[in-house]
Amino acid sequence: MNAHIRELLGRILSIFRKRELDDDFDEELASHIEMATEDNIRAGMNPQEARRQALIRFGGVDASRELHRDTRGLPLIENIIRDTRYALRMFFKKPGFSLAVIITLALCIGANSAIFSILDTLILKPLPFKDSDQIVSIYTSHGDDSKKQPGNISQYLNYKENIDEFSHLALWWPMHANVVIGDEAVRLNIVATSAEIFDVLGINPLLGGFFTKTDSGDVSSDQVILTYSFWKSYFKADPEIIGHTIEINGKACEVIGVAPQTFEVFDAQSKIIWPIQLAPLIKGNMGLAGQKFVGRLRPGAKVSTVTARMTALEQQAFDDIPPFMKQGVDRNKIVAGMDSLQSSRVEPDLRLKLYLLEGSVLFVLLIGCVNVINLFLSRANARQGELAVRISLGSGRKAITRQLFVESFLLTWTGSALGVALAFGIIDIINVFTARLLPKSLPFSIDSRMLLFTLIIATLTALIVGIFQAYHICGSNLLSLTRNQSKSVSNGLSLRRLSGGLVIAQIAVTLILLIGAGLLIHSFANILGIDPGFNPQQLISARIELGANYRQDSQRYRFRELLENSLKEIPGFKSVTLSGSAPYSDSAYTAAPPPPSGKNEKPPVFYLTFSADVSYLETMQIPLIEGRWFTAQDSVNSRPVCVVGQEFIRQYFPDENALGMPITEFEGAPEIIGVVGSIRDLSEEERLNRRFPPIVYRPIKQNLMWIIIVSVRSPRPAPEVIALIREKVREVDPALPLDETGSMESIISASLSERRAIMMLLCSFAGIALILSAVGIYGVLAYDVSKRTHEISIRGAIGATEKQIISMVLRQGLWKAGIGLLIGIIGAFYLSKFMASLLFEVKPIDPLTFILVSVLLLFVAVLASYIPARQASRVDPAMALRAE
Amino acid sequence: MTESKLDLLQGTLDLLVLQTLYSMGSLHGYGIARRIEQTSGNEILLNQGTIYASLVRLQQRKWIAAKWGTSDNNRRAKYYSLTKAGQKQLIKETENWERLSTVITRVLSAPVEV
Repeated sequence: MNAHIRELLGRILSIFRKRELDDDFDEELASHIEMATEDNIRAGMNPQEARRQALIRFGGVDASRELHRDTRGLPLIENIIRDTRYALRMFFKKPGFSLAVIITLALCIGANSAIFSILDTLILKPLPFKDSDQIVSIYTSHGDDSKKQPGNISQYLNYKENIDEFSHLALWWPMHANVVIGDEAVRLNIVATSAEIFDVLGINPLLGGFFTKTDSGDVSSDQVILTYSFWKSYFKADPEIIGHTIEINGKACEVIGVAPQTFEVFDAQSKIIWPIQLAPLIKGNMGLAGQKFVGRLRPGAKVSTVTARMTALEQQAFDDIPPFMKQGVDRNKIVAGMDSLQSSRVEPDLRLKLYLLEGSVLFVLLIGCVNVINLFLSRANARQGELAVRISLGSGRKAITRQLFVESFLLTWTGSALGVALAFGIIDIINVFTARLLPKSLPFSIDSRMLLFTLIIATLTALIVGIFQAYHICGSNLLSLTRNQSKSVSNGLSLRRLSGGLVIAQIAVTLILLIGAGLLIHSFANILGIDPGFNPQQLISARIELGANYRQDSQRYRFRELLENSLKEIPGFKSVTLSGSAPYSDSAYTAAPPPPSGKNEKPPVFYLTFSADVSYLETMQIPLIEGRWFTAQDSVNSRPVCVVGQEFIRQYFPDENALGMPITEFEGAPEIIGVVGSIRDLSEEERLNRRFPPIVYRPIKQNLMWIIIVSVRSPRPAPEVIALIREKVREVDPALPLDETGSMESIISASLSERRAIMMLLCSFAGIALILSAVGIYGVLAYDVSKRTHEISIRGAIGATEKQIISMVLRQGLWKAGIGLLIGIIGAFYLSKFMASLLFEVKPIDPLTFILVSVLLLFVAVLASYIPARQASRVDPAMALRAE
Repeated sequence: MTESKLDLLQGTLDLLVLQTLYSMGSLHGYGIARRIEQTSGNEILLNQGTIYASLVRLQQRKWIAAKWGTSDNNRRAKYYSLTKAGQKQLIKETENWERLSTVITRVLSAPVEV
């Protein structure tokens, strides 16, 4: 065993001492021949004969040199090194070809690596927690196709009491809070959670400790834990942070620990972790928006038995909810279930988008490969002379094939290395502009898995390119070429068929990508085209959430009044409104059963409640349809009233005149005094794929909540307006931060950022594909024309006009494009339905998109064919014929 | 070279080289080749050049060592000699060979059953 290892080592080392060892052996060989010659002379031969005999006995000097080298070194590797050197020389001789291949592959592979790294980080890679497959996210679902709803407090308490299979259960409730650190007031993402979350995840504190329970079960609410990123960015990773005081929603809290960075894989948004206080939540029966319910299963717990227990508990609990909530829900269809934390991190919707992107970049890679194969094939054809000479000089097919593979590997790997560098850039961009698209993870980075993926992709590409080449070259009769250099027409034909077929495939795939991008663009245009129902221009808004110092209604009224008066004094503020909600402020829905009409029981209407003041309608520029808007007289002491949006009427009172009707389900049964136009809302479009939410407006004086949204219509620039608002708020209460500030146009635009990100990515992939296939058509036709110079010149000589020659070449290009289009349309027909949920008021088979995209692709194909066609028409018959 | 000379079995050349160096001490490639031819009574077919592949292999396995030196008639030549490991290997391979040849002889000389 040892001897073999030593031998291998010796063989490897000898590769690096080739020259030295060769010289050494030559000397030894010479000395051998000399000694043998001398012996032969002594035996009585003449010197010439003696040397001849010595050489005969030696048995072939070159052969023994070869044998010596092969025994001494690693022949395969040395051959590959030689082939590589040869390939490198060839590449530098034809830099255009090499660059074309490398750039094409760098683009395709770079995009693939970048998208893969996102997909991997979000979906494929196991989470960095101990036994992460035991961590589950718990949900309930009503009926077959209804959405998964995260568990709630009563469920949490119920399971903790009744299900033993969970070693730990935790509630997780992200929220915003007014945080005062030192003398700076900021609005931050924080999370209220039960102490078990750290046991569920199985993590230990980086600094300090985690929450410990008091005897009463709850953790005292004056302790907080910082996340690693927040500790690092805000406190500059201060090691003395434990014991500092931070004020959250008016309550002073002590920092007791810092969570490790892995924690942010679970939640990358929250900056501060706060103990949840269950008692007041249970008493107030509050819903927790955006909450999660997670647990760790005991080792060996069976998922099916646990879900069965959970479902039984859920169905029991259903009997206790208010009757109107039961409408439209079948008790027996209620299901409780769990997903692994890994899969629950990414909503199905986003998952679909990521797979869509990964699929599209793979298509782009396919198209790039076709171009590279075509480039290699046309070069292989040009090299047939050279290869034929090498074969006739004794190179075996094996050696030639090896040479071809070495070349394709060399170029693809170079391209991939560049691609990885490019992926760095792409990932940087993705990190910046898709912060909203991918909110649930750490920033993406390049890791070993991504590099491995790239290596696999690159190797596959190299193999495919190599196989096509070897098939083409070794399939043709090379020896016949030595006899009859390069003019073999039949050989050209098989190549033309092959590359023609590849170009058709390329066009088909490009069309599919373009249609995907087109559908997204059409959806985006539809969204942009919706009249928002109010005028977003010159409208600037900011959000204030009143903290613990505003428990009394009177305190909140007072604050509102002070702020309103000081804002109205500012010159250039044409109109100011301080309301409780505003479009695009991500409000929560409430459910109400509609009044029974006839005998039909209708499902509950989910509507938004907006508290608005007198100037709301004027500032927002929402049209009043019927009745009247609120006046200063609609206050606490007057009769409860409300105004509703048209959409509410459509869903709630479809058949009746709503004016003057009371909404009995509301506290005080307010009377409807007016109807206004519908307005758009973020959640409606993005989550429910509908245009308008039903809205009920209440006078702010009858329904003053904790949230105040200041909206100002002003021609002054948004940052200036916001600075002024901030100054005025500070004058009234320096502990109140502003949140969600900006012009309404930028808020609307931000609400579309996810859709825009997906659209832009898909569009850029489709754009790359389009360019690549244009190059593909051009390359194949140009090569074709160059091969057919002879034939074309004869056509010219016997009277073909320039036009006829141009149309001949164009026809060839268009014929391929046509077939490709047809195949692509059929493919898109089947594939586009997977995109249905990403589209907004566009059918997956959208005639407009299909037609426009086909026309675009055809136009590009004509353009790409025209250049070689023009070249063909310029062939001078006399010159070409003479050159033969 | 006539038809009747023996073709060497794969790997046996190494054994012969080791044995030659064992009996002769330090020797150059030509000397080894001649010695093998002579001791075999000129029965072994040997392209002298092939001996060098064997020498390289044995050297890489550290069974023999090589050094440039001067021959009897003042010619520069590369001299090979057996190392400790080479001696052990020689004993092992000789044993192997003897076992192999006994077994093969036994099989070949088994009486023909009718």
